[in-house]
Amino acid sequence: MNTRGSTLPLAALAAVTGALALMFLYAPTEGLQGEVQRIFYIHVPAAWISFLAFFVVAVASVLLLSKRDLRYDRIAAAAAEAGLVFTTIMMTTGPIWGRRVWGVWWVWDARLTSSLVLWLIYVGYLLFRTTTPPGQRRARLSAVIGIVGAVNVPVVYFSVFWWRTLHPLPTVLNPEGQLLPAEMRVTLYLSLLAFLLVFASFVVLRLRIEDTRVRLTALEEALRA
Amino acid sequence: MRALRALLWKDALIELRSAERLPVLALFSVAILLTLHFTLPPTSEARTPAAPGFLWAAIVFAALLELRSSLESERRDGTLDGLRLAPVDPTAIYIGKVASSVAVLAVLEAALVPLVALFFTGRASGVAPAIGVAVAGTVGLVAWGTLFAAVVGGTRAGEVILPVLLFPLIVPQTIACVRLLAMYLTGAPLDDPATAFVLLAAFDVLSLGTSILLFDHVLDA
Amino acid sequence: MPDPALPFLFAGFAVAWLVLGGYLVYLWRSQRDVASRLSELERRTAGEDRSAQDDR
Repeated sequence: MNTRGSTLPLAALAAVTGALALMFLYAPTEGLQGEVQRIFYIHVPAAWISFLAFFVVAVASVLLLSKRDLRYDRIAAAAAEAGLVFTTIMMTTGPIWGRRVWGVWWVWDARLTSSLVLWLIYVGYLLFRTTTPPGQRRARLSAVIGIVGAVNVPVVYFSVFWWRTLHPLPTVLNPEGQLLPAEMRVTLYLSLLAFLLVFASFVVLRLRIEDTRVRLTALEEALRA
Repeated sequence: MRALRALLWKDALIELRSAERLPVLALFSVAILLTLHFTLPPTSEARTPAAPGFLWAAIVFAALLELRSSLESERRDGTLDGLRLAPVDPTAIYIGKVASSVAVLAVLEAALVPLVALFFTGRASGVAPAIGVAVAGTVGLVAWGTLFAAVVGGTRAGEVILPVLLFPLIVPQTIACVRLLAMYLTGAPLDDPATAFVLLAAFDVLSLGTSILLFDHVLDA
Repeated sequence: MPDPALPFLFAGFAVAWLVLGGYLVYLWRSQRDVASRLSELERRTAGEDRSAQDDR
């Protein structure tokens, strides 16, 4: 692996190290929840990046449909893969944390339900791509799936929210409730930066691999001819 | 406009010709309801409150079947390719397919809703408006479903992927629809039925509108 | 008295690392696959150049 273009992964690594240090050595122990609250510094940035990633998928999908440049399809796919990674992290750390803090692994509130829907949309998007031969057709159809998915996540959130106002849940500890003390805020922001850099690194690396693969396939075809 | 009418006529003819689809759908739905019936203990009091949910589940599965049959018959007759080559507005194609699928499912629901009332709630009141609610919800179901059935195509992999893609999308329809069905079929109190109706209609409009916008791209692919 | 929630904290971080690591492994494998195809291609074109020279 060449060292060109490794500034991004190195920056990500540095940020991750820094964030880990802050998470365990600098951030104060939370009063009500104890040490387990530190999962917050993983769970919340993971959630934000999940939604950012899908935003990227949606924008790239729209661009693909209007410009028809397959490069946008590769960006959407790379963002979707990385997005699934972070959504999975969110969906696993959330229940682990929730079990400890709320006493239950899962509740069907608006936030969790729409997160589950997001996860399913990611899976469906990628599953569709693996079962369809690559090319313009797959790119355009994936774009349609991506756009519909993006439209639907806020709709699901809203409809579950409305449903829930008819059947309110028992008051659940809001992990981000009160204003955070400065040390927690700093830790959260550094962690968010770290996650952002890791996400960007994943996408760039994945794109590089895919670009090379596309060029390779073209060359192999040419040789066979 | 003439193209749309021609398409609706074509789809109506196909529906009449493949009238065997409706009995199959009906049998399928009844089989599902039967299975769901046995998920509850014999003297369960949950039978009535669960009825709207069971009904909607049966409708969703029947709709899946109908969507596939609709695409399959197009493929078999080669009409989709013919339509693609002819200079017909993709929107007309889409609306034609949605209309014909909704029509078939509406007929199914007209029979299914009273059946559910008979087997699960034992109440005759509210059945008529419940049928209307079911059809309204089906519109949204079929709107997304027609788009995605075209996306996944007729392959066997597509058959498996269609539910994976579709089910997360129909959560809003499901919530609004089942709330209203519960109100009509079981008398469950609903604080704000007006909002529920508005939401159901809004989701239908959203799903139809977005699908119409995107359907050209699916056919182009 | 150690915090009784520590297993949860540990589990949370472990799972996050596992998922990240899993994806990194996937990226690394894809990279290796592409690299091997590239060297295969170079090998073949080099071989053809050589046989072209022999023909001449």
